[in-house]
Amino acid sequence: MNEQENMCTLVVLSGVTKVFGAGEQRVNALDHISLTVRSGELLLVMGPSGSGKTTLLSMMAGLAKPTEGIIRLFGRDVVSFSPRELQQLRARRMGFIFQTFLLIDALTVLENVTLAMRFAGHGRREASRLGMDLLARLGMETRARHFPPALSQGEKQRVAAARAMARDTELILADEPTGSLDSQQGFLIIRLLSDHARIENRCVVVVSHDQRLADFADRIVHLEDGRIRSIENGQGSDR
Amino acid sequence: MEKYTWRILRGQPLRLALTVGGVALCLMLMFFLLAVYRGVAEGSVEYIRSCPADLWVLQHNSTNILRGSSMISTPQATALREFAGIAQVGSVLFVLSASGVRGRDGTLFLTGFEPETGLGGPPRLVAGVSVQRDDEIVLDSCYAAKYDIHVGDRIWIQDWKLKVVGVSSGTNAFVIQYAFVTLNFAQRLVGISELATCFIIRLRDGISAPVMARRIRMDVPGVDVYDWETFLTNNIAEMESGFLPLLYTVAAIGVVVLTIILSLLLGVNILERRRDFAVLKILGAPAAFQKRLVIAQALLITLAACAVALLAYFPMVWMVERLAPEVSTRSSILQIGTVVLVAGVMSLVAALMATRRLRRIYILEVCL
Repeated sequence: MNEQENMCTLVVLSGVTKVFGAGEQRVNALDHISLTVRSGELLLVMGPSGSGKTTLLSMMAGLAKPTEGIIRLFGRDVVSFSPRELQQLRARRMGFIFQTFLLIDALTVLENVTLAMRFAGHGRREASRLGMDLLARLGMETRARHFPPALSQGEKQRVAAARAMARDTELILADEPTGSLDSQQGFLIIRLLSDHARIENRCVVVVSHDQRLADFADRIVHLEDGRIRSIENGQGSDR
Repeated sequence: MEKYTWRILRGQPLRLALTVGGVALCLMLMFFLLAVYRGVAEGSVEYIRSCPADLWVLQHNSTNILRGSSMISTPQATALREFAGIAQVGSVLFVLSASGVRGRDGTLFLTGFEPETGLGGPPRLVAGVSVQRDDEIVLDSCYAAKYDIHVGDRIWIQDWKLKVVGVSSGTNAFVIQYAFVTLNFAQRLVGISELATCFIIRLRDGISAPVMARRIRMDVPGVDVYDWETFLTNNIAEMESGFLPLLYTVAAIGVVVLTIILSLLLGVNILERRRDFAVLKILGAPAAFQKRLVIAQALLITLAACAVALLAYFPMVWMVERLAPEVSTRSSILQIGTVVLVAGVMSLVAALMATRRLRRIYILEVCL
């Protein structure tokens, strides 16, 4: 692997198996998954419910360790990271977007965005300025002082996306980011993530049921019963 | 972070009010206990502190007058008066006695003294005059207030009716109050003439108290002699040995209960906010940041409780002292500062106990 390739490869899964439970309760959530995730692409992971999509995402985030196989995260075996290193990795190099947004209701929109930036080492003023710029780009600047319960679903997801993108992280992991949104709002969010991947040369991994997202993905991984059924190029790769 | 902490707490206003109220009540209890302690500590020995004695003479092995009986004979006082360098000798007899006024019974620490010398008599009079005759009595101001007795009223001391001629201050020992009668009356009350509890000695100018004390010990058999400072220290130590353990026990129980309650409340807050904490974890919040959030909640609650306690404490003390005049309290900045400091430490301990729950919040369980 040359240096250029190394820089672009963010996550490598080699023969990863994840088993939950034992005996009759044993479930193979992932079964010998091998996959490489690179910067500059929007990778879509699709599959029916229970196919292991979310488990795959959590493994890529270093939230769970594989039963078998190796996961290399930013060039290092995930099991070699200490809890503190994983925390710093999440603060500086990874962003997350969830179906239920998971905004902190007691913080304003701007505070939700800037808090994550503070963990990444930005100063208060700098975080506030960058946060306002980002919210302005997403058309949310007038909502900066509002609290999440006062926002629509689409607005909440835009804030969640802003929070994930604010730190300029190399890898964004999104779990059903359009699941709670209508088609127009969903389109807006996936467009945002797709642009972020291509224009900023970042990597966005999206786990979803939503077939419409295929139009924006560079690659689509189809999962079934914890196994990769197929990997195909998406229509996003033609752009 | 402060804003976030405040908003978390403000989200449950009733719970916040109950918690702050509970902590404030506990702090008031601590303020009050310390103030009562100081009130008792100073009140119990105020009589001794105010007494213009250079030396106290008691029966051998008696060290104090609060919790010990000393019996000596008044003719020894006559012998002491012959010592060169002694200016005055006053005999004092302490007697615990039942009292009655307007059908209400009480107990008094009767102090029989010789009106001629005035030694051992009331330290300060707030009304009337001192005792001159055997049918007269001076009462402590708290006792007088409690039983609504004024100068000129009459009070039963066992089978004798005495006229109240004065009211004194600095004579409230919390559990009992001093009253002053003549030595003759006190001796008549116990039925033993020539009996005294102690002698109070005043020395002539330039006479060394330790030297005189040594001489008395050698020349007068069966007595111990203390200078003013030693005798005061003995009595304070005696009072503290009986009262301080109780105070410490109650205060310690208060601190422990409060720490546990605060810790439980913070734990509930963490569990209710487990989603937020999981989000913080997935955003890469350092463990120290999460702990600081809990500690900030604890400190905010304690700070608010301190403010409430301070605002409510002084009116409460005013009311207690009106309802129970014998309860004498003395508060100081140092005491209040100590309680606030203890409360701060307590809130830190409670917060650290509660933060153990943070470890049991798993990102996967909450977020994915």
